[in-house]
Amino acid sequence: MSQATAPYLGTVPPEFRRPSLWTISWRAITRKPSRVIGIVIILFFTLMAIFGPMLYPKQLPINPAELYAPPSWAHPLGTDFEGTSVLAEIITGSRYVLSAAALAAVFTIGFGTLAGVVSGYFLGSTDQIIMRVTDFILTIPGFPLLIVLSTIWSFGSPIAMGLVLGLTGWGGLARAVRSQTLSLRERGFIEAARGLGLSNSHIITREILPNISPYIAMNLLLSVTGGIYAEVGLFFLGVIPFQSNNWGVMLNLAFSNGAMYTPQSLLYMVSPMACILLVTFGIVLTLDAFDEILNPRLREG
Amino acid sequence: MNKISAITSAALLATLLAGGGALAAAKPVATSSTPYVTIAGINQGGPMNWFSPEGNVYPGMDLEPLAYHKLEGTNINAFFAGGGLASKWQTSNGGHTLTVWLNPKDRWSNGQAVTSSDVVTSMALYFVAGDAQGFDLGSVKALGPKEIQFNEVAGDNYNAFSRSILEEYILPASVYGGVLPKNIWSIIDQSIYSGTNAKLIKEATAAQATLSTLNKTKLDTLAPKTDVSAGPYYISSLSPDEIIMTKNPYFYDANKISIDTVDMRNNASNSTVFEWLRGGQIYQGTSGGMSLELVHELAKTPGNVYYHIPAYVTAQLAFNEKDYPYGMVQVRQAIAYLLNKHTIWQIAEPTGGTRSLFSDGMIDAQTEEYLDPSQKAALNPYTPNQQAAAKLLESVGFTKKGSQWYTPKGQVFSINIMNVSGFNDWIEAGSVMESELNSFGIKTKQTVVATFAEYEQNQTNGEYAVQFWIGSLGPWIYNTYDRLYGAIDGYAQNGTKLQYTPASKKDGGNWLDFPQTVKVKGYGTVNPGKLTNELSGNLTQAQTKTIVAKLAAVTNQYVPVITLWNYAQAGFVNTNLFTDYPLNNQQLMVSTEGQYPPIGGWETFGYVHPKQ
Repeated sequence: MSQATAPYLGTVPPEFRRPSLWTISWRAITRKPSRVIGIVIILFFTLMAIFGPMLYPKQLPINPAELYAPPSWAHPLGTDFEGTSVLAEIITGSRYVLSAAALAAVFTIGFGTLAGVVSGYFLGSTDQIIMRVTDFILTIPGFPLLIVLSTIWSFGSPIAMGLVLGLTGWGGLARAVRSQTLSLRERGFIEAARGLGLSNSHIITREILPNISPYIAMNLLLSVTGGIYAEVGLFFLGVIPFQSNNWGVMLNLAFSNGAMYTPQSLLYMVSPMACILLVTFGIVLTLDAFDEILNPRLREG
Repeated sequence: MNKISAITSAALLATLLAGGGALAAAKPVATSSTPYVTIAGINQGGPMNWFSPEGNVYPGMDLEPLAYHKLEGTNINAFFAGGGLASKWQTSNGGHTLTVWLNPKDRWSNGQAVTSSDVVTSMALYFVAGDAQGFDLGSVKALGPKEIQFNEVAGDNYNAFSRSILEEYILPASVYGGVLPKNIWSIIDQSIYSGTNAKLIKEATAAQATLSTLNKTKLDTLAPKTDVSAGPYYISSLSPDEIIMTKNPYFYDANKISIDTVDMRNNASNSTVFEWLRGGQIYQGTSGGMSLELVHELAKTPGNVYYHIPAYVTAQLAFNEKDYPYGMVQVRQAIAYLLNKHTIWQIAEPTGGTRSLFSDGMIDAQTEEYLDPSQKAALNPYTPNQQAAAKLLESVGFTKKGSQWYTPKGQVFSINIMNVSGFNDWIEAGSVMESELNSFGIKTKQTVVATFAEYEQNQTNGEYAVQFWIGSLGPWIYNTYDRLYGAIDGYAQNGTKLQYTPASKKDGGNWLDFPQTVKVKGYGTVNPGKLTNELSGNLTQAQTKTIVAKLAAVTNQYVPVITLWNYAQAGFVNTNLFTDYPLNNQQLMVSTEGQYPPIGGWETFGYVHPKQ
């Protein structure tokens, strides 16, 4: 006579508990020193953009007695053409530059992912219409379009700048996301979900999006660097709402004033360049950590 | 190493050292065939057409005037002796008729003679382009192959009539004549009618339209295949980034031109010019936006010599009085008190200008020439004074809440200073103003427009409230005040009548909107537009000074513009291969810098030679 066994109602033993996202992230980041450096750089600039401008008055002081002054304790990165501290400009200017770039990335990812997934999943006339719009976006040369747009739009706020960069930059991502969606929609688990009668929105948000999230996350970070290059490029070209602490404006004025030929003002030109380089460096170092965090197949045991 | 190879190596080393020493000790020399390298603004893809907005022809190089005028403040009819296509000229009929005799040696670079037919054709072209109407030219007659007579429009009394004709560049009829219809002079005659006969007015309007169409469809678009020049050089090679000018062997003073080839590089950006100057690669170059440190750095290049010549141009901040609240004089005065012109100059244009001392609309040199000590003392220098500014603003209902000023309408008092991309001195000045005004509690920002063409168009359309403006443009006092109380204030001379267009009229060009009459301390009611126009007439020096004193007082008291700095022509010449620059001849330097590059003008007057 066999003894009836009680149904197993217990929890998964602790040793088999799925690690939390924080644990996975921490493990992924600390696995390689380069990733730690990348995260530290990104955190540093993020904190600078959030809190840095609070350390300075809204209107940075000018000082005609200290034009292009060399580095000193008072001005560790020297001063600019009007005697304003370059460090203060870098810090206060970071908020616009980084927030516009982050918003540009969010808009790019938002538009691109939505268009790509909807197009790839529904196919038919929806796909035709979205892809023709995408082709149109792709055929427009982005940077010249931005220059033209800047003549009618002031780009005074980072939201406006981010939105425009996002609106002009989502085409490539939409195409790539559509390809991935097309591939996924033929897989068995999507067929099964359809067979179970799950709604399209459930399938897209719960089945498809999680599977392409590593790719989207990678593109989000890369879009931030793309956003920085595009907006700083616009400011550097002089098609700008003038803000003397914008990194692109700093580069523009440094170049056109010949800062590169006078050693004492070299830091005025080098500082914004170094910041752009550092942000890009930080993002590149962090990319593979994000890939590992979001893609279970890449996690090392 | 065996002995032979050791000896060979030692001999080789000795030879190399000796050669190197010889090279190091050699002084640079040049001959007439050594190209003179300089910079110029090249319109990429533009034709060799003086009238094209994108044209590539250069005054003093391949364009030659009848005479080279001097930039003298009190004598508008001053010319250099010996330069230009005219060998002599004479005025008669009370200054209303000018007779010019061409130099018998004048020839085009294709060997043909420059004749009175070329001059008459050139004047017709200036009518088509809309220039000749500006200097009241009524008729042109060839009295002989080298003799031409010009007559002013009957009833006009323009004191720069002769000067305006003599300083025009003469174009070859063989190249430009094809754009003119055979009946061009009857069209011109009809177009300049300014009487009251309705039929003739209608004909004049139609003729003006014909000239305008001709200008747009034929003259502007003309693209000559070769450059035919009466100047010291002609273009032998035109590419987007470099123009090669070759000496015109038929030039009337060819023996003075000691350089066979001028290589003109496109001055596409300040930084490129700085790089060339630092490398000693160009023998003359100038650029805006040079800091003192940069000037010192560039001066270290062997052979580089810095020059700094006062120019008859000013930088001004102008207000559109149609826009609230700039119609209130107290607001404009308050802003004048808040801007530290010394700081602005020091930061924005420390090498290419001098700070402006008098806020009277003139360059300081003109103020010194025209005003007596008591008149100068009566001018308000608007020394920075925040208390005075606050008092003025409060007097017209402005209030300060916290750190921010509010207009009488309860709005935040905010200023948007319009500026142009690439104009670094203006941008830097705008940045300083932004700082000074924000510190006082006026929310100020600077908007930079992508191109000067766009800026100019919007400015003319009255779209900007606060903007930069170039003042004076030459030593002639009429020009100085015409820049203020002329076209931009709605005044234009039509024939013998002065017409006024209010700012309310769309596309009327009046964007300053200064009141037509104002009461001025010590002078009563003054009409600046009318007074300015009077300056263009034949006046005595005393009469001119009386009018200028009134206009200076109006401008100082009512502040339609704030003069920020007087410009200077600053640049470098390199003396490694070429010498005898006219750096000590201030009059020639300031006059020929208007022709760019100035090397052709310098040589024409006997300066600059290869270093033998």
